[in-house]
Amino acid sequence: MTVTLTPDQQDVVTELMNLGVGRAADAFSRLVGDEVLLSVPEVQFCSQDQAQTHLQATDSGQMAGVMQTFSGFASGTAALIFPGPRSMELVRLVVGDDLPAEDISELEQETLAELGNIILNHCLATIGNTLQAEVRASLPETYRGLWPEMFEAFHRITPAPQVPAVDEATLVMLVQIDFTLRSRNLRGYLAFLIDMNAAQVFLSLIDRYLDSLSG
Amino acid sequence: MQLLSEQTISGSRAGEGVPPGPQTVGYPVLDAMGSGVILLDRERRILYWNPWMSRMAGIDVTHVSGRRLEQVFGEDRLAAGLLDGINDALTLGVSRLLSNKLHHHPIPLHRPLDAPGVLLDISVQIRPVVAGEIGCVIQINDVSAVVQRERKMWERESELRLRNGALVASGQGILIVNASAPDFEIQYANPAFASVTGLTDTMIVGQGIDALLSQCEDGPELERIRQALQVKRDVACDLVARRGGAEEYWLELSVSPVFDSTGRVSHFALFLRDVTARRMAEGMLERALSDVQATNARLNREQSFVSTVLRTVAALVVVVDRRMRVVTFNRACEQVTGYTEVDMAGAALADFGAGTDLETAVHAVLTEGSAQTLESTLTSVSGEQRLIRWAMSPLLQTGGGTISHVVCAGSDITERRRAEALLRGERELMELISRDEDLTVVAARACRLLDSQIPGAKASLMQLSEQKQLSTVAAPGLSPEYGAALGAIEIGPAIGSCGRAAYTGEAVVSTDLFRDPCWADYRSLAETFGVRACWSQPILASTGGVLGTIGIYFSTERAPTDSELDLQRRICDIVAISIERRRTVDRIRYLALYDQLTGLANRSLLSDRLMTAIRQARRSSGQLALLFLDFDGFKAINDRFGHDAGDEVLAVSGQRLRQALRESDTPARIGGDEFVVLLPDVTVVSTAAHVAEKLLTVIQEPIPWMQHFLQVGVSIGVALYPDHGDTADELLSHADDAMYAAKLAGKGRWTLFDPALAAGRT
Repeated sequence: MTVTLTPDQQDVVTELMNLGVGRAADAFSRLVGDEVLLSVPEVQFCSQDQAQTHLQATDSGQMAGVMQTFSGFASGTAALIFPGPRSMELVRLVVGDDLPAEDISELEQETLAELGNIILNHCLATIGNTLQAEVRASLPETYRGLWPEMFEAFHRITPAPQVPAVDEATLVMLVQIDFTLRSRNLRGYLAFLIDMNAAQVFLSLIDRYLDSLSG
Repeated sequence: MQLLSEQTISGSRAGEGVPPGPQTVGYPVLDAMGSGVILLDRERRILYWNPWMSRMAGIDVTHVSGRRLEQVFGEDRLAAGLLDGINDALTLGVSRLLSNKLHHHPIPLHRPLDAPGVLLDISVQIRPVVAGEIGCVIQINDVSAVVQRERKMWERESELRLRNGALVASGQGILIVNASAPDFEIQYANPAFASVTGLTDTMIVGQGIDALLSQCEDGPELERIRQALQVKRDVACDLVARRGGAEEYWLELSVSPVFDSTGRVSHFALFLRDVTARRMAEGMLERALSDVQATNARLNREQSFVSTVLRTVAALVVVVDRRMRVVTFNRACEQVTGYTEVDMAGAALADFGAGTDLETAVHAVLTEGSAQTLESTLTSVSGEQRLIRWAMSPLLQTGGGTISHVVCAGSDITERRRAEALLRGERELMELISRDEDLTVVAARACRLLDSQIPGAKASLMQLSEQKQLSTVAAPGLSPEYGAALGAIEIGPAIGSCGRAAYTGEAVVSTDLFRDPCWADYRSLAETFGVRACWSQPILASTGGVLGTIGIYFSTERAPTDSELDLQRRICDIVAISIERRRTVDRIRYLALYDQLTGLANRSLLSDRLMTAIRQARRSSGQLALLFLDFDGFKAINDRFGHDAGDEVLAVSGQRLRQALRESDTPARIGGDEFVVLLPDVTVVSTAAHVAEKLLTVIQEPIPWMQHFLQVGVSIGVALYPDHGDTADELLSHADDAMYAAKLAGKGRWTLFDPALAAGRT
C-alpha cells in the first residue's frame, strides 16, 4: 500500500516544515545568542524501505539521531538524524566548545537531544497548530548506529499501532534540513515515521486545511 | 492520544502510578526519589515538589504550593527555555528537555553542603501530563557528577590531545616500539619520523625495529642502540643513516624506555632527528677551530722562532714603545750591558747605559717615521764602554699608519773599531819603520797604539843593550820620571817583569805587582807611579835573540786576555823589525865605511871625513894633517908566516892606531898594508910630528902570533893643509909622496912633504 501526496498536499507539508524549522531557528538563535539559520530544501514521502535505501546511499557510516514519539494529527516517531561526526559538530558549535574528545559525551548527547527536541517540537507544533489538530510529543532520546539500526530504533520506540501493520504500512516523511550556524553549514535529516492508518488522518487534515484556505 | 506521554513516564517510572489528587496529599514514590520532581497544574502553579527539591531549593514544599516557579525563584533566575517549555507542554502537549550544557542552571538549586553560590548542575525534563489537576511534570536530574566526570575527561583528553599534538606536530621523529616483542615491533610513528627517515608509517608500523636500524651504518654506535634495547636502558647517539637507501644523513637517535604501571619496561620511545646540518655546522666549526688552532700554533712557533732568534742573535735588539719604554731587550743586550731583560722591561734607554744621542735618534724615528743609523757608546753596568752601531726602524701598528714601536738593532763594533785602529796603527808603525824613523819615534807610536787598544794600558818599551842592560826607549803613557827612575836595569830571572822577560825570552805576566816577589825591589817605585800590574813580553830578533821588551802597565790588578797578549806579541814583533832593521842598516853602513879586518875607516869614509875636515878647516881657517903609513917588512911576514899572520899584524896594528889616536882623529886602512890617519884641527906641525913619532913606536912593537913574535916597521909621510894642498886628493897624494921619501930615506921614519922635492921629481 503506497501513499502518494498530491502536489498541493506536498506543498502544504513543505511549507509547514519550513515554518516549523524557521521557528526552531529563532529559538536556537535565542538559545545560543548567535544567528542560526535553518532551511528545508526538500521534503519527500516514501516507504520505509525506499527511505532506508535512499539514506544509506547518501550516508553509509555511523549515524546519530534524536527521536521522539508523537501523536495527535498522526502518530509515529519523529527523528533528527545526522551523520555521526556532524551531530557532534553541531553540538559543539551550539555549545561553543572546542573540546578534543573523539566521542560525543553524555552531556553532549543530552544537548543533542535538546536540539532535536526543539526542532521536532516546533515542526510538530506548527503542523498541529496549522492543521488545528492536537499534538503530543514525548521527550527526546538519542540513538547511534548505522542506518538499519536507526530504523530498528524507530520501530522499537514507535507506539504499537492499533492494527498490526506490515512494513509497507509505514509512511516516511523525509525532510532534508540545512543548518547555517557560526559560519558553518551542516546537513541533516528530519524523518517522520507515520503509521499508515494515521497517515490517512494526516492527509485528510491537510485536505481540510487546503479546503479552508480556498474556502 | 494523551496516553502517549503517560506511557513514556510510566515506562521509565514504573510503579509510580497515577498521582493522587490534591497537593496536600504526599506522593510517597516521588518523595523517595533521588531526583527533583515538580508537579504543576494547568495554570503553572506548583502542586507539589518532592523533598529532593525542598533540599536543593532550600524551600519546603509547603511554602511553594500554589505559587509559580518564577514567583518562587524570580523570573530572571530561571532559564527562558524552562518557562517556554512549561508553556509548550501545557498548551501544545509536547515534552521539553533542557540540557545542562545549554542551560547549566535552568533552576537555581543548591546542594546544602556546597559552598554558597555553587549552583547545582541539572538537566530538566518537562512532560505534559493530564491527570487530575496536574498539567505537567518537571523532572530535575542532578548531573553534577556527570559534569565533573566529563570536565575531568575533557581535561585528561585535552592534555592527551596536547601530548598527541606534540607527538604529531613534533619536528622530531618519534617512534613507539613494543619492548616485549622480540623484534621490538614498531607500534607508532609520527609524521616527522617519515620526513626524517623517509620511512612512512605504513612501511614500518608492525615491523621490527630493524626496519629502521637496517638503514643505519654499522658500527659501535649502532651496537650501543641494539644493546640498550636488549637491556632496556636509555641511550643516545649520532649515526650515519641512508634515507631510502640513498641519501646519507646524520641521524640523532635516542632511546628511552617507557615504564608501565608495574614498573616494567613496556615500550620504548625513540626520538629521531636529522642533525646533518648541525653536524656540518659542527664540522665546519671544528675545522674552523682547528684552522685557528693551527694558525695559533704556527704563530706560536713563529713567535718562539722569533724569540729564539732574538735571544740567540749576536746583534743587540731593543724594542721600545711610543713612550720610549723598553719592550724587548734580547740576550745580546743582556750580555753587553750586564742588565737583564726583566729589569729593563719598561725602562728608559738611558737605564741600560745608552747615550743620550740614542734617545734623540729614537725620538726622531718615532716622530719622523724614517729609519736611522747611529754609532753610540754604551756603558755597561761594570762601566765598560762599548761602541754600538745602531740601526733604528719604525714598526707600524697593525692595519694602521701610526708608529707603535721602534726596533733598535745594534752591533757591537768596539772590536771592529779597535781592530781597524790596530790595523791603522800597525800600518803607521810599518810606515815609520820603512821611513827609517828613529827607534824612539817608532817605540812611542807602538806604545800609544797599545794604550789605545787595551783599555787602561800604559805601555813602555825598553831596549836591551849589548851590555845586556835594559833601558827605557819610550813610555808615553807613563810619567817621564818613571823611565828615569828605573834607569838601566840588569836582566835576570827575578828582576821585575821586563828583566825576567828579557832574560827568559818569554812573556811574563804579573797581574798584581804587590804580590809578585820579583817586584819586591821595585815595589815602592810601583807605588809611587801608581802601577799595579805589568805584562811584559820580549822583543825577539828573527834570529832568536832578545832585542828589548814591551811592558804594559795597569793601575789596577789586571790579567790579560789571549787576544791582548797576542796584540802585545804582534807589536813586539813589529818593533823587533824596527830594531833589527836599524841594526842591519848600521851594519851595512859599517861595512861600507870601515875596513873589516881592522875596524878602521876605509878609503871612502876617509875621503868623506877628509873632505868634511877640509871644508871645516877652510871655514875656520884651521889646519889639518894627513899621515900616510906603509908597513916595512910586511911582505916578508906574509911570505914567511902566511896571510893569517899578515892579517893578525894588520888587525893588531889597526887597534894600536886607534888606541894611540884621539877620538876625533880618523885612522883608516886604504890598501894592503897602507893606512892613513886624518888629524883634523892641527894647529902646529909639531902636533903631527908628535903623532907620527908615537905611531912609529906603537907599530914596531912585536906582535905575538902562534909561537912567534911578529914585527913590522912603518914609514910615514905627512902632508898638511893648507900648506901642502887644499884638496883631498892633493893632500893624499902629497902624504903618499912624503911616505915614499921616508922609505927612500931608510924606512922606519916619518917625512914631512917637501914641495920643492916634489917639484923637482916631477
